[in-house]
Amino acid sequence: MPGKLNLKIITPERIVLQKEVDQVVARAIDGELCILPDHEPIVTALSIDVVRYDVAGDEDHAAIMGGVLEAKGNEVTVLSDVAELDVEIDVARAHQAKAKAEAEKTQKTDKLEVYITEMAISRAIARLKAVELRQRRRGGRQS
Amino acid sequence: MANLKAIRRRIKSVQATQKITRAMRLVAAAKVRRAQQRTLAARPFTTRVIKMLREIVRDTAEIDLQELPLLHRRPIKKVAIIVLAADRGLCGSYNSNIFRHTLERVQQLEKDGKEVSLILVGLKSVAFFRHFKLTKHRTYTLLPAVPTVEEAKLIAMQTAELYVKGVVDAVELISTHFISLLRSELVNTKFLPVELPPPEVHEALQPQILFEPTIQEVLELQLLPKYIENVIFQSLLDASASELAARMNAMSNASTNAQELINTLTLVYNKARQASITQELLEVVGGAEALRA
Repeated sequence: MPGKLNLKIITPERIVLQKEVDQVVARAIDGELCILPDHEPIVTALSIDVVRYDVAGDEDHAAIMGGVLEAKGNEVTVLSDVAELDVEIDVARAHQAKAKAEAEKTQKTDKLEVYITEMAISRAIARLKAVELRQRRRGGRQS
Repeated sequence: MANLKAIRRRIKSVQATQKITRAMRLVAAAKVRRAQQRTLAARPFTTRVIKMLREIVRDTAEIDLQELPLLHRRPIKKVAIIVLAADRGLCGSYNSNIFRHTLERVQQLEKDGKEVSLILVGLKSVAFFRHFKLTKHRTYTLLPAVPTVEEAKLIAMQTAELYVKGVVDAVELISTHFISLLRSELVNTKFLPVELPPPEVHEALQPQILFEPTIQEVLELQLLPKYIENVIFQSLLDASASELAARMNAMSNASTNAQELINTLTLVYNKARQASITQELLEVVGGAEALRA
């Protein structure tokens, strides 16, 4: 039986999560990676997406708005400016934010402004994805 | 009696002052709680970022870091000091402590033959250093009472720019570390270049850290900006919490002093009143005696 990973998700506002997990799956800026116990030390930049982690065969999710992931020994630390667990996400707000950003994007011509709205869209998408993954899991469990 | 009137007026004025200091204490007390929470909540993140960056810089060969201007070390000739002080006064020795420490540091650096310049935060620091012949790169004033990441970003980016362009070779940060409501401590942080942890004996067979995709990208896009932003952000938070705590203590002392003063004055006033009444009685009795005789 391999050891467990101690996953920490930290933002400037609070410690979002501190938990023993079996594995962590995250999307780095160049692709997805999975961290199992006794991983080699690694530091990677994360993209705006969902981090999935397994606790006793059960998968949970957190929306991460970019950041850094460091694995060292069996400590996995995610440092991000903003991070939310799937249970905390306000779905209605994320939908609204997405719609608003998409509407704004069509009106913007400046490259920088388009980029900013695209970032907003991807943040909203990451949140929605975390929620959706959670719902799918729950649905699967019920049936 | 003129004296009585003067004392009465004095009591009134002290009472008015006390009302103000009491109100200021309450306001500071209400704000400090929030500032304290935010400061403490931000700390784990900042310490992690600093630790991570130091470990990486220590464990990587220098050649890999060469392309990152922010980590570039060069002989230190010109030093900039960021002075984090308050916008407002009436907070005890909070500001003057910072200034005294800054002046000491400036003298020390100048003795070592370094060129010193300043980056000032807070109206009070601008007012204090106005008459000093030191280069001031930038001044930031009227920050909100509870600092946000935006201000930190602005200060951090502009300071980093000075460093990258070679205007300065090192940046130090003088600010206040918040310990508790009654204690805060002056700290002098070496902000740039990134300070290395004390050299440790490397364990044999220590696995090399992998970087995905490359060390440059990880550091340049994520870790370094986070580092410079959060060191400043944390200092701003610490400073605001310390300032409010200092103001709360100063105002609480002031209110107590005012109360003491009022008590003493009331005593003097009553004595004087009693004396004047006795005096008048004596005069009346004396007059009556004189008439009867």
